Amino acid sequence: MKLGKLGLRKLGLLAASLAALASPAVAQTVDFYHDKGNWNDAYKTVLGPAKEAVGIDVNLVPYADTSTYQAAVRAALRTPSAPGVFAWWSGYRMKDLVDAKLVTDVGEVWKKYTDAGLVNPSLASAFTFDGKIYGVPNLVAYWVVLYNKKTFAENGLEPPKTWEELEKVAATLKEKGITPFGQTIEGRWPSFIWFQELLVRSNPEFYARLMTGQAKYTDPEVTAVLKTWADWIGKGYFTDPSIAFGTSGSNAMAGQLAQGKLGMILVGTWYANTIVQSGLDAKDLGAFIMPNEKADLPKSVIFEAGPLLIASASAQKEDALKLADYWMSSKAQQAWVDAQDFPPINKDVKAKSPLIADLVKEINDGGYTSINRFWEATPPQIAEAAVDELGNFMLHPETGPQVQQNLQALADKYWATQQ
Amino acid sequence: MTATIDQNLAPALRRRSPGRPLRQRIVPYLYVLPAALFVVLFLLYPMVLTAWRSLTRFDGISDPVYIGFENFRTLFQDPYFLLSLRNTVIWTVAAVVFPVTLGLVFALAFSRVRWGGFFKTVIYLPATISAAAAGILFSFVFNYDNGVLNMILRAIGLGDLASRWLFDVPTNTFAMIATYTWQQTGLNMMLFLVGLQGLPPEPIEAAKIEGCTGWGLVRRIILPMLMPYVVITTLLAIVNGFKVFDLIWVMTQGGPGRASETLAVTMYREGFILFNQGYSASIAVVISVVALAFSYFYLRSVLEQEARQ
Repeated sequence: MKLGKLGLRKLGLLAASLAALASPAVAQTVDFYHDKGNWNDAYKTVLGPAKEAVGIDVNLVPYADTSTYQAAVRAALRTPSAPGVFAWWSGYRMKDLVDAKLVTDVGEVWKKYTDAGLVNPSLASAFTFDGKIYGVPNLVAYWVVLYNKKTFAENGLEPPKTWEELEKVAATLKEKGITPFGQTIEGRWPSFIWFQELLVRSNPEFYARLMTGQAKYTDPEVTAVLKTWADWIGKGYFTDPSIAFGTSGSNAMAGQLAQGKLGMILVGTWYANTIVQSGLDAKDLGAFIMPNEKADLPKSVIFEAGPLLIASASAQKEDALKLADYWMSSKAQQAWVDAQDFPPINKDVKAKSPLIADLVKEINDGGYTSINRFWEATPPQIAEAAVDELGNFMLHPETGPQVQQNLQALADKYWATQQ
Repeated sequence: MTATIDQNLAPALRRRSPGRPLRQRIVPYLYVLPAALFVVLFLLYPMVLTAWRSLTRFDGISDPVYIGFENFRTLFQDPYFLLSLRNTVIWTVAAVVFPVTLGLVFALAFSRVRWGGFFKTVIYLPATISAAAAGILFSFVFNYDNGVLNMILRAIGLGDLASRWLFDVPTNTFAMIATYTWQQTGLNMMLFLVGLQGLPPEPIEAAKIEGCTGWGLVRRIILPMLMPYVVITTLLAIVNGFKVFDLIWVMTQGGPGRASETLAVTMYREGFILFNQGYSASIAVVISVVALAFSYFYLRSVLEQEARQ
């Protein structure tokens, strides 16, 4: 076959196009799966510049429903079409992925930032298994009490420093016709919030043992916690447990705090934005770490660390590692903190709001121990069923002993399979 | 009769077939092939896979481990499965009693009245939205703090009746059944309207001339003639009631605790929240067997009716 002048030109153009495709100047695409629909715009803002910075074009794939998301990701993880990067949960919730070798060691990415003194290496603990780190932080949140400063001021109240002061604040608010604390079972999972906090405030060492099956839900420490909880429910210190928390679209709890009908919400720092969006001026929103029940207990704060993981089988793995590096950089982290008002993980990054800045300073300077959240600290097989039991307790506080037995039966069943 | 025709045709076909070119004999199968492939790929293969999975312990990540009928043994000793089964039976009965009865009543009431078209449209409208959307809508209605229902009760001085409609057991199941009834009645009404339009007018006219009117006419003349439609609608309602999932998931997620779970919700929870996918598959098998049994009776009724026509 003879190639004419035109044919040669076409061939040249084709070759040039192929060369352009293979050129490193062309951005590689990394799929980024997540189930945080309302964070999608923030991800876009942070990851958009990755194209110019490291030549990676991020394809965001948001899922509206967490269960569907988990099922889809788990099904894809063994295949080359697995997402390059995906948002997940730490501790026991990522352990089975690590055990099945489905996620990538990102220790080298961490090393770059910890060696430079930019990131505290202890932050990696929630993503570390057998000495290897398998995730970079998507979010870090502290579980604190958010309160309406105006409501406190109008009633002559200060953030409590001791357990007795906390009880006094609750009693005063109740007297004034304001519900002291928010609590809900809407969406199932929030029912662990008060259980974990009351346990950590009364006996953090017991909490750690309970999470790993070395203590029992029928032990007196749990009985005491449920007694305090039931006592406070009986005194009318809590909202009705059916109040909307945002999982179904409505945010009645945040709204009540903004309107001064509710005094305090024990929640992750990520909820601050929701309260501000519900009408409370950001300067009127305060936060404090719940005091310990006994003064001699060490200072501690419950934290939540959500990782971004990289699928081992993904065809995009190498580019995903580059993206993880970019994500940890001061530039990306500043953009992320500015968009979300999360506590910064990089020392070069400044907190967006004074609320978060003050909290982070207090935790760093005050010698607080970080304690992993119940949801990730105990196996999901226990946590998922435990929230239902705790929800039943919130609706019917008189069922405490039965709830304890049911919880222990769940724990026994799970830990028996792990021996 | 059919047998006779077959006997007459068979020799002719046998004679003709060998003579037909191969291509001509293959062509009909080629037309059917795409549809058949879809059925195999998206229906039969998942069914077989689910049946196989029900005999394994499988977490969705590791390789499945064959455990025989262990999942089924566990299933019938699991108190949550038995609770779920009880709820499913309540749902199935309610799905027949309320939406089918109301559908029939509305069909009879609106079939020959002035403004009937308007009322029929109003009743049918909820059937055009998804069950999940209906669930979200009624979640707002039943909300304890600012739900429409409690707000009305408080406004008219019946605040004591204001309730946690979706959090108290068994009130929440009844609240969800009410939502389901609101959504399904229109569909059943349409099925009955089709049936009513197809009824021969002569027996009805004759009965009227004989002085049979009102409830007597309905009970003695219309209902007996409408019976095939009642059977079909009922069987369809049983199958749908047995499989109900989305509405419950949106409104209570089977809670509080696991109190309002039905089999489909339990299956989803075991499979996609706890990742006991083998166990979940065994629940799917139970649902499928029951639904298939009712579907068989449904199809038989439909086919018999078609044969009669």
